[in-house]
Amino acid sequence: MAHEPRIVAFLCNGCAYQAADRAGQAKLAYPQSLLTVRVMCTGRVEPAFVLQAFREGADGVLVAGCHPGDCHYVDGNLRAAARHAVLSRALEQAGIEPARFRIAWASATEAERFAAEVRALTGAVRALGPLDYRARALDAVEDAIRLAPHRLEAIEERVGAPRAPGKPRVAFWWNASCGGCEEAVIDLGDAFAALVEKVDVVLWPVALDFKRRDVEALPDGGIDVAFVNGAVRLTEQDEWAQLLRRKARVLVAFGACAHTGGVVGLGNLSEPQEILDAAYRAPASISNPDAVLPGQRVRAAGHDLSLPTLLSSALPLGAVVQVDYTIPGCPPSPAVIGAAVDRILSGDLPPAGAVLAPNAPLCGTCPRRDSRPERIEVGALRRLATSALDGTCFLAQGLVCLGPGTRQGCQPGCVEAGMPCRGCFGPLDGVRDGGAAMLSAFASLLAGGEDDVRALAAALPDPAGTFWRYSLAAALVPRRPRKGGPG
Amino acid sequence: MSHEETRGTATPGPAGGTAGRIGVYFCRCGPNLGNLIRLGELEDPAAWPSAADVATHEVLCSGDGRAWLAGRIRDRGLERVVVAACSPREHEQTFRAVLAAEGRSPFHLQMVNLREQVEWIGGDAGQVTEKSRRLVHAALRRVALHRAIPSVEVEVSADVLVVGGGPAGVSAALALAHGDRKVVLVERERVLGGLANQLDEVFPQLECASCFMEPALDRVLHAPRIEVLTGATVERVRGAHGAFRVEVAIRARGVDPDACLGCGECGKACPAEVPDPLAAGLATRRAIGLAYAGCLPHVSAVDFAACRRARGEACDACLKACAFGAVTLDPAPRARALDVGAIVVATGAAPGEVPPREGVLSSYQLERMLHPDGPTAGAVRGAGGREPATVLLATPATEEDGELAAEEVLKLARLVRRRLPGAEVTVAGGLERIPSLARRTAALAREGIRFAPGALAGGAVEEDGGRPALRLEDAGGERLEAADLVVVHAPSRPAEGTAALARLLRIGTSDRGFLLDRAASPFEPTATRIAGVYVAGAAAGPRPIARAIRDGAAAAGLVLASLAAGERRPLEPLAAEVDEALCGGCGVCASACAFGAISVRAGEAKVEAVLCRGCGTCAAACPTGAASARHFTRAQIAAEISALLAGGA
Repeated sequence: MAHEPRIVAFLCNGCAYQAADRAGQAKLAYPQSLLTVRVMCTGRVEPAFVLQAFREGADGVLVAGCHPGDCHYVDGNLRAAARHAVLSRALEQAGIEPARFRIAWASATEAERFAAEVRALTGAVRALGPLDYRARALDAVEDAIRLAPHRLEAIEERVGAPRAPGKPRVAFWWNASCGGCEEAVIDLGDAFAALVEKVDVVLWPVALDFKRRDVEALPDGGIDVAFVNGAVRLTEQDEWAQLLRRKARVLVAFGACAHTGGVVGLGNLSEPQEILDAAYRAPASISNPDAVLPGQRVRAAGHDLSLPTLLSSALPLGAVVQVDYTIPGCPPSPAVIGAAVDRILSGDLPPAGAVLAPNAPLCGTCPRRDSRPERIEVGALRRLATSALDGTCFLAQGLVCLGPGTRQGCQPGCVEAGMPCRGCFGPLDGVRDGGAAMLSAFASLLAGGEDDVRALAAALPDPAGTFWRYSLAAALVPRRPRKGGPG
Repeated sequence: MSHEETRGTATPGPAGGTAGRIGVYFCRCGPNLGNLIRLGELEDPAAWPSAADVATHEVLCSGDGRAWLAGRIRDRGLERVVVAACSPREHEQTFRAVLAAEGRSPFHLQMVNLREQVEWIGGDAGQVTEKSRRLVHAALRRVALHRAIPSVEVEVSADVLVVGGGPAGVSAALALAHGDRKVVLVERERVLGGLANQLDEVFPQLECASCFMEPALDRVLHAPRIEVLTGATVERVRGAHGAFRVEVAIRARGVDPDACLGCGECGKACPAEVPDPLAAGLATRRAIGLAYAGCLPHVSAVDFAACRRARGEACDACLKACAFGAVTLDPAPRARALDVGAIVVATGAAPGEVPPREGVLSSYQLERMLHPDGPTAGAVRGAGGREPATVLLATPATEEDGELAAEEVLKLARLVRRRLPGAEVTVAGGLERIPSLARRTAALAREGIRFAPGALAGGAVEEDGGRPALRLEDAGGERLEAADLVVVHAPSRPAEGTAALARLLRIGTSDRGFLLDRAASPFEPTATRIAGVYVAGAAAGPRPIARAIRDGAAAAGLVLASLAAGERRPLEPLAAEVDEALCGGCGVCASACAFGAISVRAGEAKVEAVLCRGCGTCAAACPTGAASARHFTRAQIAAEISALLAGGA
């Protein structure tokens, strides 16, 4: 028996679900590929549901509702169409073929049309083959790390030595990051001087000369707090994450890259090979006659040298080690750092896993909040660099602003400086994928008929990079599936 | 992390909001289920370790089946039930009632549609059984997360808003008031009657318009159940059928309507002169006064844009002239909020205009001239204010305005012929060749009206020998037909504000901008795509007055038939909720809501349950998780998706 595609179908109660019932009553033969979730209206379908379905094993996703103009809830189907139009572009960027994600209209009486839609989608998905996202994308990441022998040590339960007397021992480390988080620590100013007085710094490569062997020499639990910024992109960074996890009593993910992968995570829209080619082979300014890549040994000046190798994707720190607390932001603001450090050093610790910034969205403190109209309708897209703008709500002016779904803590940040929020502080507690949530929010504001919202969605530049600018590595679909199928 | 929290826990503890024993019941639906699906494999209790009871009944929806189900719920102390049978659209209510009768929440049910959406589609038995297993698994996971939803009933409003006081709106308002409904009639202008009341005689019988309009308007103004708001516009509409909340803005009248007798002394004293909107550009009026003699309501109004005092000058001419102290000159507009169950839109059309030119009139301008209270007191005037010796009438709008255009031109020809017995009256454009008009045009020809041969070439007014002319074409070629006075009936346009009203009400508009009365069936004339909103009269496209009046009555009939006074309806059980702790007041939910059920106040979104229909669009749009849809929560749907995809290939 051939592999039957698994298609998660969101059918609206008003039309499409009835059409499916009618197709059954008429005994129309069509593929048994649908795993149906009934919703009152396609307007209920969150992009996060679609991403979850792909992540957890769906080969295709169908959203089917009433024809535009016939929605039992006026225009919920147009909200669904707008979200579909934006999300399918983002999925394509993430390597999931648009043909796997279909939106269709079928009235309650259109049984044959419904069956035809299922046949068409099933046929298209069958032709593409199983998506098998988990095996092709997520497991690839796990493989890359699981095979590293040092991880076996990390599996052992951490047995911390008793806390050493004296000042708290603090480590700062940077993985895949730009250095801005280090700069943010310096930017504490007077508070920084006070901090240095209160602690013993045992590791801080940007400022002080410690070696890896110095850290290895510390007893497990010998660091009281380790602040680690940057995503995990290289084998060496994973090793450092494991080492610091073992040595630190409290491990803090510092900044957006450690929190959700940050801008480094956008590298997951490319295959590692493409990244290596772009860095080490393609540029005209590179002289690399032997086409040597990181990981390959090179003999130079009497030494065998090699560079750390790329993992198959960039990962948030929390994906490779257990993180106790997170200080969000790109970079974290002095206020958030100061408050978080005080809290941690004073032992006033929140429940493990907490993000140490207000659990409230940025709109609540936006200086433009009073200019927000009662209904925001985006009839035309605008861009910061090229459009004439005024001092009112960015969304109402047709700019993508991620403030509605982004945690406070940056202030004064981008909006105070006249820029729409780009989401670096990440989503609120309980929101699994902040990028998907803001994609849904923004698409829900697109105004007009079906053609209008599709045209607006098509004109939105770089949806994956816009909505997941700082969080792709932590998204529900955090990387491209490997080409050529699983295995 | 909602879906990850729920994965792998079939019956979450109180943290998930739920607990209790779950039963899974299969129905064989007589001979309908189990021929393809291997129910035997699914019925094995070992397959459902999280279920407290698993069993099968032959016909679960039968009286015997329901009693059996009730007994199992009772005897086994079940709180939640999965029924794997037919479509929930068929029997969800049946089994909810069984749960409710046993003191369980009716929402503690999840149905699996094995019949319509699995068994009856056909296919491979193994594959179909595997799919069924996934669907039951998902229902089990989902039902464990269901929450009880209390039932709340509210009284629907049977009151009706009628927008527009022309013949259609008046007709609807009178019929509704006669049917014991409270009606609020909102009219943009200061006077009722619309275009119809500005005409002298109407086709086809040349009836006197005011003779049938004014008694009707008088009844509207004196009906105790009709409240008339003039100078008023609809600003906001929320909610749905049975529970609309409408906000109306009322322009200041500047005159106390209870004190004003309509004597007109204020207007005589007023020094500010402005173009008279009812004179079609042919005369002026004062900044205060009656709209026209005999207008209803018979009350003066101030045009604040023209009033000298309102513009800062020290003028009190009208205040002094009014013997009744009725003139207030208070410029403050008012706002009214109305709760109504239905809305009849009867905003009418605006007459077509022709570019101004000496010796050229639009049909509406000629209508006003012919009116005894019009700018020329009933005299027909051509270029230079002279009585024309030749009059040419035509319409390029037979396509757009249909019956109205042709009838209007023929009527005007007849009226001009009567008013100017010595003039040559010509109708151009081939109306005499329309079969349905042939007999009438022949009769008019016998009365001495000339029908110029040929079709209109375009319809634009040109010039020929210093006189206005129309270009006609026939087999012999093109020629210009000139006259002292040319009258053109141009296509009617949507009334002012139609587009904004369509947006507020979410009803569509035609290519020409008229409201779409797209009824769900031909048996619901005037109904629109929005339940409880009706479009009557020329707001839905140009039409004769008689048809507009019939539309109004039809709309009233549908309102009376669909909304009973005092009726109670359950509040939408699936109405959305907003967790204020997570809400940042971004307004995305309010913007996505088609019913205006959410408003952002003091930085937080609030749901008005009476306006919410429970579609869940807001929950999907909310980026913080603050908005949620009852019975379709993020956790419930995510658990369902995970279970559908869990395990196996």
